[in-house]
Amino acid sequence: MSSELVERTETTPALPARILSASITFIRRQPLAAAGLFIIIVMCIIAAAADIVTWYDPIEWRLKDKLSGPFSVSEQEPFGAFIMGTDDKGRDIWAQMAVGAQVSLMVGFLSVAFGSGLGGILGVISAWFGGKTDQVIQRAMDALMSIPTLILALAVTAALGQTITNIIIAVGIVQIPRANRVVRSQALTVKESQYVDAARAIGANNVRIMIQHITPQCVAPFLIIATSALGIAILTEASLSYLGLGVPPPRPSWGGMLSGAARDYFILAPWMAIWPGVGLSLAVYGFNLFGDGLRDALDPRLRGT
Amino acid sequence: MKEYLIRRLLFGALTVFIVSALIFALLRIAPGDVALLIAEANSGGEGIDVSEEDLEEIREMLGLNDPLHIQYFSWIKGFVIGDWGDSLFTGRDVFEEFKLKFPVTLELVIFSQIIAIALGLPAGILMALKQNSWVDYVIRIMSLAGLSLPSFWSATLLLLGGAYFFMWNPELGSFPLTEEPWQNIQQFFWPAMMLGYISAATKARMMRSTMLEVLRQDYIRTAKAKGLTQYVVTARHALKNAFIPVITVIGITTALSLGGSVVMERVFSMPGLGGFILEGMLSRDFPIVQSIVLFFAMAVIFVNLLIDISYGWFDPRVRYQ
Repeated sequence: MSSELVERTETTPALPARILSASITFIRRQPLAAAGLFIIIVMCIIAAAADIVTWYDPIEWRLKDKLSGPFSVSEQEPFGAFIMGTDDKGRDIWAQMAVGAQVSLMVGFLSVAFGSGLGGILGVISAWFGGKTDQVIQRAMDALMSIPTLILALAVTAALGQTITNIIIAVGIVQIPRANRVVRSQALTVKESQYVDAARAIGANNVRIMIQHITPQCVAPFLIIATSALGIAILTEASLSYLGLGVPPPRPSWGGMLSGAARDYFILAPWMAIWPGVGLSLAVYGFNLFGDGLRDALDPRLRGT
Repeated sequence: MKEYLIRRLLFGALTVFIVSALIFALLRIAPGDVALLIAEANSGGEGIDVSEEDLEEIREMLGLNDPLHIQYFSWIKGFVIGDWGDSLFTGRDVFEEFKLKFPVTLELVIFSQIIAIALGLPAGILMALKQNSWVDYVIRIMSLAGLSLPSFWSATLLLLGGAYFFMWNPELGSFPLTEEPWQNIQQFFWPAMMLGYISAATKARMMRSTMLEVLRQDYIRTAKAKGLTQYVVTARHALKNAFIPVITVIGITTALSLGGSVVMERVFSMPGLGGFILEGMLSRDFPIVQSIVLFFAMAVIFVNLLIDISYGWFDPRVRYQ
């Protein structure tokens, strides 16, 4: 046994080479998903390294530099070019974009972890216990689903107040029903399988079966739904900020950058409205493309097409 | 069928009840004193000292001192008989405002759904028939763009671009379809197109996946083996079954369009419910928020009920589940 294992490790190529060949296969098979993943990775790098890749304070007003075009250089204390121009208060748009990416990604990932995660857990519970538990959870889901998502998110932030935490809660709540439905229907099929019967026969308790036997089988559909939820979450956060019930100023957010001044100065400084929209579209597009590829790869009904 | 109908109706009523309780609870746990907000607004600004008696008077007037269940039932009773309360800040009757603004949103949603069906279903069928060809890729990229482009951004660009390059400006004000049809259509065309495009994207993707599933069924192979033409196989055999799951999406996209109407009405300055509810939320005007949100939810529940019933009508298996 052990000699076989050693032999195998000797014959497999080094790790970087393996990653490279796996990536090439991935790009060939799923070109659109690979493009999506590339966009996501670039965005994460920009957000993580915001302090290094930008050289102006995103919040500080520099009125002498206001409405400078892309690639213009500041008159005073030149730190470097405003590669995306400045807004009506002279703030560097590139720096705001990088900080905005942080906000978008943070709200996106945390709200999906909270909302879709909670929806998924409720889905497993709902499917496993069935009966009254299922009825109660499903009727609550019906109710949540009947309020249009943007309006529900608006109502939650309006009621709880405009803080980042409340926005994450609001954007998370609207995702609960969808993740719940998807995970529940998967869990219902798994519940009927023989190995679950076997686990029950040897005396495993409910919690153990749900965590060890049912949840792993629900990961694939959950990942598909979570990836597309990420795109929607980023879009919802931006809509909230655009409508004035999102990330409170002066903290830059892509939605907030598009409201108000960007509209007034559109003719004079179109870059104010163009960059945040491009960033937002690319980010959501990236997550959607990747989610689509993931669905093709993981959904058994579409496998082999 | 009768039993099925009754069951669906009861489910619908139950959902309406849960939603109303949810909305009520959400607005009661909201931090901040509504009475204080009103008193400050009445006396001209924030931070002005307001006497405790004034606050007490406002609370009494709004019924905020009553027990919660009494507040809830008086709200529901008022909602049913058309007494939706007055705006906390403008003092105008919410139901009267609603009656003025509802037609705008209704027309926007109906137009956008018509556009969505006309664009989305053929696109989805085409994608499935030409799977993995360049047609599939092009339409897929376009439909994903529909889901990815922030509507408020693309609509703003359209609006400002139109104003700059073509001296085109959106029609402001209200033009009933029956009286000034031309202005009405000019006003609704672009917002409905933008909303319709987003809904079309969802519909096209759903149509593609159900169509792909149906095309792989045995009876389709049999039909092809019999020597039927591609057209007959698609139109007579595949489409019928592929349409059924797509009907469900109409419920989802209606909810989507209602949410999207908030954004579109804001961007295009249209006097509809979306803008109304947004103003209510920004100023925390609770009578507006609770009644209009409940109305939106009821609209979605109603559309879903219609879809469920039509499902039972088209597909006898559904009735017995």
